[in-house]
Amino acid sequence: MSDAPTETAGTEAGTAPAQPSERAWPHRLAWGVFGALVIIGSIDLGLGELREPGPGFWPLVSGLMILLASFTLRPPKNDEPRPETFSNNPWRLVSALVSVAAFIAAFAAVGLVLPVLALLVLWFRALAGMRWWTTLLTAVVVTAALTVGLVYGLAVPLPSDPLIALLEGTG
Amino acid sequence: MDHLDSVVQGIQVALQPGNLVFVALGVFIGTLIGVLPGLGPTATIALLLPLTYVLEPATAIILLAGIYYGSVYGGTITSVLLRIPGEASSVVTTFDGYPMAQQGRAGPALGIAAVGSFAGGMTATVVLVLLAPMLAGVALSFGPPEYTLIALTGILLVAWMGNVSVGRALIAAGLGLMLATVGLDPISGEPRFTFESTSMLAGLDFIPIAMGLFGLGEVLYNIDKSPTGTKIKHKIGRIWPTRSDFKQAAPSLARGTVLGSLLGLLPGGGSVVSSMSSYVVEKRRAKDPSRFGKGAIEGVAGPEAASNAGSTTAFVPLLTLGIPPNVVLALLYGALLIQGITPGPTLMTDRPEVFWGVIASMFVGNVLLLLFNTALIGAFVQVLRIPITILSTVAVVVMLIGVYTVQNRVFDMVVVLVFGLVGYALRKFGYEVGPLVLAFILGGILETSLRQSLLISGGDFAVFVTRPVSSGILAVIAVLVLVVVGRTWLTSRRVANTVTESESESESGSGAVSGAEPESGSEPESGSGSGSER
Repeated sequence: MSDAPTETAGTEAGTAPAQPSERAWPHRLAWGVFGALVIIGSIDLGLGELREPGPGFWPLVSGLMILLASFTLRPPKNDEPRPETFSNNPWRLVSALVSVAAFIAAFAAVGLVLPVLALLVLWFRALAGMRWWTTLLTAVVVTAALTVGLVYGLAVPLPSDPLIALLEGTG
Repeated sequence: MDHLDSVVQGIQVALQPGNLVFVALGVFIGTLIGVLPGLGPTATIALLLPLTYVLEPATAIILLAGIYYGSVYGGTITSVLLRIPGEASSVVTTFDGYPMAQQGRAGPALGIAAVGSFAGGMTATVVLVLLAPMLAGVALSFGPPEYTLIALTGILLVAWMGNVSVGRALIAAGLGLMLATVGLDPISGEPRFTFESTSMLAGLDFIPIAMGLFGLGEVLYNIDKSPTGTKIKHKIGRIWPTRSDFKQAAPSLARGTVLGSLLGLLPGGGSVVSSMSSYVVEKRRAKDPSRFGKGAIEGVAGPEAASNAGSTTAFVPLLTLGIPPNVVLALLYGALLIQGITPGPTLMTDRPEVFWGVIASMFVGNVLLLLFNTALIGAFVQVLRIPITILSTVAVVVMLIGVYTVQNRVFDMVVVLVFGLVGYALRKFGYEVGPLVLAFILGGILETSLRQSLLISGGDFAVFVTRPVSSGILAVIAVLVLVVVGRTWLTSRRVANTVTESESESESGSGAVSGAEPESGSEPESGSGSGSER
């Protein structure tokens, strides 16, 4: 790897865009605290003895691994992925996360069709930047294909869907 | 004779019409996602895991394996045409493939890559046929101490060979090991880290974690990127390389195939390590190394053969020891578990149709891939016009519904969301999720086999030294640790020297040089802290 042209390797792998410097201590602190918490939790579970390890024995190993590795953290070298700056427009990420959370809640409440349609419309329009007409058409076609494929094709058991019940005349 | 019968049975399974369709579908999807930067084989296999639940075991693994080695072929296309690797092992192909495209030789670059991939893939499948039964036979004598050490070696090697520093990889692995402990203790039955949630009592399932980290995490990461499609500037032209191209590339193809086949067998091996090692070998052996990076056909042929050979022989540890050597194969391990099959030395005798069916399907898959990557390459390139956000949107919906269908639990969808955010954050902060997932898979094996070893030996760690095989594995681990520590020491000395030199230069210079100023904050730390990393 070191023999390769570094510019090509770095930029095109998408792994090492030039970023401002990074401090290691927040990482050391965060992981150190996390490792310590896992160790405390392990001791609480009971470590047992070497001839008969208890339920906390293995979690202790993982906690120690995290804690010890946290001491070795340092800023990445040139050929390693660097922390990336977060987007200037965090709303894209926030709206994606909130919409997925809303989708999960709606899926549990009203089944497949409406949540899928709503999520597709939102993501196609707001995140992919598609035109309204294309958005609606693509969303309806994908929703219909998924519904037919999952409900009728694979007979996958899904939460009860009032819209499907209405269409089937069973609602 | 039994062995031959099993191979024949495997060929029959692979040639069943349904399996032929699924191997074609697998390599087609694999090539497609190899072409699309941002949607790799790990995310795709994670996405499709629940849907394979409805398939026969052999068919499911044939499909997923096809996606895996298909993506290794497909990743080359964008490496050559756009200098954007479709997936990790194709990074090396950009070094000489793209300069060839700039010189109007995109066709021969893609052609030799396809031929190299075919040669590497087919040869390695033969190696798999010959080697797997032998290793499975040996593995039958393995006990808990051997499995403990093999799983440990796998985690250490993945941490060492990753893109990030060993410290960061070990933290990810430690997190994976810790997450694997959530749920009931396998021996005492006591709940661990469940926070009194009944949903957590059964433990965290591998599928939603993998889908969250790789699937949703990848989608969230790509949301920050451009939503537009990509335009190809270079014409592909004539695909088939000339006779002199073949003459020049043939030794590299052979060396790449051998090297990839060997490296793929190691825990932590696979296509990425193989392709990178092959590039280094080819450059070192070249009479004129300065040609490399400027369009040397050997720089495309060797790594392509090596990456496909490596991705194929990487199936050996999975199918014979039940130890996934890399992250993609960890997902295939998960797929086998979904089907109620535990990979290991008895897989070959207990489920010959799966074992040999999958291997036989690789011959078919490689032939199809040669066709896809030569005759149909123009069609695959058109896929680049589709904005990644549209594909991602559909992927998210399929992923969420898919994960629900495995156990009909909304809780699993929430796990996907949480780990999607975790995967996104880890990547943004410069960590790799690969060691986490592999450690999560191997964590169960490690804990059970370590505790069994200690129970057998009455708490005496000498059990790992007194048994011949386990002591041999322990010796390998010791050598690896020595190599890592030695390299770390040498690197930290070099970094410290460079920092000292640059500091003295900047002090004697006339002021801050552009680019040096913002870096200065990190340099003292990198000099002092790197000593314990590698």
